[in-house]
Amino acid sequence: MMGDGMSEMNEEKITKCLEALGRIDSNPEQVGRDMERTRQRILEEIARPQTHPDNLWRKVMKSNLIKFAIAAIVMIAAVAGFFWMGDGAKLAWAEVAARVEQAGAFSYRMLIQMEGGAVAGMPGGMPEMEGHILISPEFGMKMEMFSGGKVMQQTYVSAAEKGAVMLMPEAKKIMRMQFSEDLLAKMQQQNNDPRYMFKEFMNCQYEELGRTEINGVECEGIRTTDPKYGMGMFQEVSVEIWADVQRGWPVLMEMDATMNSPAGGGLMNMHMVMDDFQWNQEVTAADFTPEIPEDYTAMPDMQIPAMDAEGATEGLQLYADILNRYPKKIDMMNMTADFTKLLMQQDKAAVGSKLGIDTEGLSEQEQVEKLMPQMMKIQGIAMFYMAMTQEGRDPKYYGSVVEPGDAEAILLGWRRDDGQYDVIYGDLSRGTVAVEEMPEEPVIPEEPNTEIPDNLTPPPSPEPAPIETVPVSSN
Amino acid sequence: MEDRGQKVLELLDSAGQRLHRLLTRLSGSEQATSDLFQELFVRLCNSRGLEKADDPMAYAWRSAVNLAFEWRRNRKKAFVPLEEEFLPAENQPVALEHMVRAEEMEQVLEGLAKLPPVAREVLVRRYLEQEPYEEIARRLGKKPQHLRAICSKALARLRVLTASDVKVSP
Repeated sequence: MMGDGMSEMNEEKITKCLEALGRIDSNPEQVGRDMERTRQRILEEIARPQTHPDNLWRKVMKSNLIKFAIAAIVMIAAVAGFFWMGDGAKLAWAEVAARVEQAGAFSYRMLIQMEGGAVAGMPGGMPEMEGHILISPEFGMKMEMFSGGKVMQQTYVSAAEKGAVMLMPEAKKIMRMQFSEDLLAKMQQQNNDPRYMFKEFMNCQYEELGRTEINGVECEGIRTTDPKYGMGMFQEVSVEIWADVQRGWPVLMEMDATMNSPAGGGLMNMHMVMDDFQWNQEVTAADFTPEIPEDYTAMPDMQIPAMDAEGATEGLQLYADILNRYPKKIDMMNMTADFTKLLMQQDKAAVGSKLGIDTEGLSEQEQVEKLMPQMMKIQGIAMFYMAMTQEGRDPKYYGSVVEPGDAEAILLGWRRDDGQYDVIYGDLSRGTVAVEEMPEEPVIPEEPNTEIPDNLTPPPSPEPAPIETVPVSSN
Repeated sequence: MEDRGQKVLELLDSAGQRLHRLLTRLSGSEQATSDLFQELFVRLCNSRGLEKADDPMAYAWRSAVNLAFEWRRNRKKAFVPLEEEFLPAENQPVALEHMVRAEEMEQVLEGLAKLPPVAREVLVRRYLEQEPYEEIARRLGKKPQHLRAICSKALARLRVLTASDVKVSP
């Protein structure tokens, strides 16, 4: 659309343009009008009950299918967390870490409370969840989640079956998840959550808390508030580990974290306690085999995305196909929030048509069921990013400033063994660049998370209109 | 929410004029400025980040820049030239030159939208807000000479971006 008189600009011309823009001023009358209009709007906003996040969360909680989807994603995060291998620990805690790493089968209890963000103002708040977890390096993992005394969810991760089975007794539903070969291989090498938590902890800056008595046992504690913990998943985090001074085994892990809600709707606080550890138990394969009642119905099978560049590229392509842009952040919590919003808020028929899936005429439930397996691939982005972070490959992501199709701009990069960076460009082509060519990673300031990322409908932003009167400042 | 709302009202009184001018410069549209200005303060009302910010004005300023460039990226790609009144009064060119000048300014703004955030912030602060390098350095926690280097690289990148716009445009 350039006019005939348009020519390429040199840097001097660009500088002059920028300086000219800097001499523009607002029309004082318009400023007055806008200030007054905005003042009224702020007062309305102060008076308005904050309902949006709760409504979204209620919709999420009403839908068994969505609950399953979120549970599946949290499962992915847990599975992805299996692979953490740090550089080892130091001081006396190194021995504790080594003992945990070499442990046989063990069990523990986990209590999770969440508040704020999407769950604020819900009747009774988000119920406290209690989990009983049994882990075997040989056979896999079994996790039962309870709330209000009822079993809400049972998850079995089986090395032999190369996958996981998730049961939701209340809904009488079952979902099977399959892992890729490489994912499974990693799972078989390294196994379980507290070990991951412990290892990650030992790679962070931490302080010693001294000694105290816990349930009659003399314990010594350490604490980290290092933002490195959680690989950027948390806005703020504090983790404490307490170990039995005599026996050298951890007896309590406690975490407080602030993070983006997986249901969207802003920040939420999570308090998690892991205790009642029973180390080196005798277990058999039967302990990790689910008994599935006959009246349970199966949800669509889920293929857990591979944790490789191909999986990430496929996820990025899918995301861009749906929203015409790339995600701004690709850690697991943000991607889960995006995924949930897509399932809850978008015109699902439009999403289906962008993915080549016909969902016309189906109920919302049926639409979600049909879309979910394909959309699960979006999580491949977060899986890969997490893997690169865990491997210490310094992943850098530029989705907030790179548009789909941009063949020159680096969208995602990660360090190779030779110090260069493998990169995915905005057009999803691949390449390798020197470290000097990697741009500074964009800083994304925290902003209110109240809008749904919906590029399928026209954005509410105003269209540009001609300026009627805008005076020019003289300085 | 009420406390935050009061804080936002105070911010409106103390910094509203400056933020309005910034949005005018970045949007090039009176109507868009009005809407973006209101949207900015509504977002601030709902932002926990504002409460945590050491410098609320700096937080609001950055939010305004992000909002303006988000608007640029999301709006339809139709070219809307900056109007005559929008241009500085000095050296008013003849009609064609004037139009070209307006197009160039629009192109530069579009190029700014594609720059990495730090480079963009430095250029906006330096040229659109006329802040000295020392002040920008203090805000961003960098050395002035480092900022000059960022500025220089950003201008070179803008040249490439605006040149590619010329080539692809019919």
